[in-house]
Amino acid sequence: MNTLKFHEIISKNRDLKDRVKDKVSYKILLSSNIVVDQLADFIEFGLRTQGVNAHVVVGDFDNIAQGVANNRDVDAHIIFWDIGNIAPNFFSRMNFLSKAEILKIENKVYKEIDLVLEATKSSKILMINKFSSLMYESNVIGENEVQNIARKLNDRLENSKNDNQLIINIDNIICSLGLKNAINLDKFLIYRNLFTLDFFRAYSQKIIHPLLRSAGKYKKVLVLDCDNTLWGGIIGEDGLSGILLGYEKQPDTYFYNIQSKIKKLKNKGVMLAICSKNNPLDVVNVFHNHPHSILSEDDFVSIKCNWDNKVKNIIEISNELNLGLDSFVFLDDSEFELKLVMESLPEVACFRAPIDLKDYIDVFSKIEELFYDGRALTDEDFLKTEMYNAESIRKNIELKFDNIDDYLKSLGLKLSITTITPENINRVSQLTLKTNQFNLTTIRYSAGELEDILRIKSSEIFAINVSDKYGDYGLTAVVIVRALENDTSYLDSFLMSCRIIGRNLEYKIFSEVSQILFKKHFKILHASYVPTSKNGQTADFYKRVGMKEVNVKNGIVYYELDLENFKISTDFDYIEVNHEL
Amino acid sequence: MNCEISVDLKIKEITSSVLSLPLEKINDNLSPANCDQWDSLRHMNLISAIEDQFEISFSDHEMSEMINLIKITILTKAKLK
Repeated sequence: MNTLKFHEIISKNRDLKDRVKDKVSYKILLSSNIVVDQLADFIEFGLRTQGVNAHVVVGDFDNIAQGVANNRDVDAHIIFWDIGNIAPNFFSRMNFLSKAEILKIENKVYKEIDLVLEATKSSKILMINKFSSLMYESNVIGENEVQNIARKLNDRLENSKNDNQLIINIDNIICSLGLKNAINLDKFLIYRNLFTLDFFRAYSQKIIHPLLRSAGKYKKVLVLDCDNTLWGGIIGEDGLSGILLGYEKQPDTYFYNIQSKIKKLKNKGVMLAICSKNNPLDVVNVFHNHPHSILSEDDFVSIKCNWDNKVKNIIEISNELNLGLDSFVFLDDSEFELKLVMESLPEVACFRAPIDLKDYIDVFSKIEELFYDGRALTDEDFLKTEMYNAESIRKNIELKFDNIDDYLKSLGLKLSITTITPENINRVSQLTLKTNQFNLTTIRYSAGELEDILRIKSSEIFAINVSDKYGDYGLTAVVIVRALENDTSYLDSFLMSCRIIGRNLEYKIFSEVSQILFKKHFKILHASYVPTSKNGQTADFYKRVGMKEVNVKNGIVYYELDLENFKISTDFDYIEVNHEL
Repeated sequence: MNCEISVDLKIKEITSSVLSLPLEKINDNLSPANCDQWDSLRHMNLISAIEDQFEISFSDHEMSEMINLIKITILTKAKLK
């Protein structure tokens, strides 16, 4: 993306429009009080290359509050609010307006900010830029009025922050490019186009990852090489005392810092794996016995130390974890290995540990951006590695049983079904955003949108916790039921985290939910299957549970079930269920 | 001379991408007055795209003279000399 010229992006973006993988479109409203239309192509292109069927609509010029209020149904909002245009020609008038007049304008903007934050509450994500005064400041010494205004408006933004809101500090982007490269005052006066293409290019690169995440494209796993990646030198040759890792001298500190950053990612819920051409005992020896190794064996959900090709190893890790390769990031120091992975597995994001170690922190900060979007993480995120470690133990047991049913029976599986609560609503929203494989309709919901559903009479959102005798999987399944007429309801969403796939839990959940609905006096249940590139395994799920196919339209299969005559199967009675619904 | 031809061609390619018109429809006389696709937003995009391609920057006076494709080409070549 860096090297493509603007006209190339325009034409490639146009070509991609009809070829993008996702069928469901992802709508973004770009609102501004200056001309930012050129950003639209950068954002659409960035998202479409990652399979998101993005459509950026540029709102009416200088009509932010109303434009946003009239477009509440979009998936994402991006807002450029330029301080120089908060009132007509404010960029020149601010030099001579009285304090009272400025205060009046500030109060007007406060109200507009409140309106915008209210109207965007239920969108998946709101990205709003910090008010910047950099381009309007002329004095280096002393206080600038425009700085004061910016500070006050930014306080207002911060103080009324919603969960779905990300504040983008554009001053950082402007500084890294230099004011002259980022701002184009000439064009501003003619076209009201304040920012340069270089700025838009840098800006779109910064915001693309949070947007991808909100569209359900998550990076979840960081696969690491060992030698010259987690420590300096080669453990097989240099031995435990010969490798470079510690906090006392260079270059040992570079690796120590990187390990600490990797540990931080793990604590934030990123899963770590090792893929290294090494003797496994040598590698584990570093984690156990090196005095300065921050990472330990338990931090990894999978350790592949062998002499096989890394592509094969990464595919194996993906199978073990039941996670698609597009959620993988790979860090290695060998150009050879990286090229091989990039060519064979283009979905995997690859990074090279640099030869010049001074650049390592910069490289790693790009990796951090892929995983982290500054939003609150849920308890499940922290538990994840523990759960996946238990998953490895389960997989090993699995081998000893001839019959999968015997194995499943031995697990002591438990389901606990509750309705959604303020405590778990963020997790439920996150599951709708992240779950791709076992997801019948793949409808993404923000917490605000879920609240909207609950306001509709008789609608239910079931949050399902799963555990077995080896550990707690946490909240890993969601069923959303909407009421239609008196005795009819339909399954808006039915999804399960890939962590719990393959245990027949879906059948038990379906039959429990059906019984709950029947007790609530519903007689007919409707459902539909909406195919995506990833949810093929659920294509005939509703048929398998006994629903009747009634219609197929545009690839979507519609089903119906007579709840009165629905026979509950006893095949999965080894799964214990708790609920008080 | 070769270099001049390639600037001409490149500008035509850029115009074709920005205005979403086939290359064969792009001629020197093309202007906002005789082309529906050439609205004010695409005009801005066209100038930005040319600046981006050749790593140049036009002044507001130069921009005000860009009334058709031939003018744009002449002004671009003058910048590149």
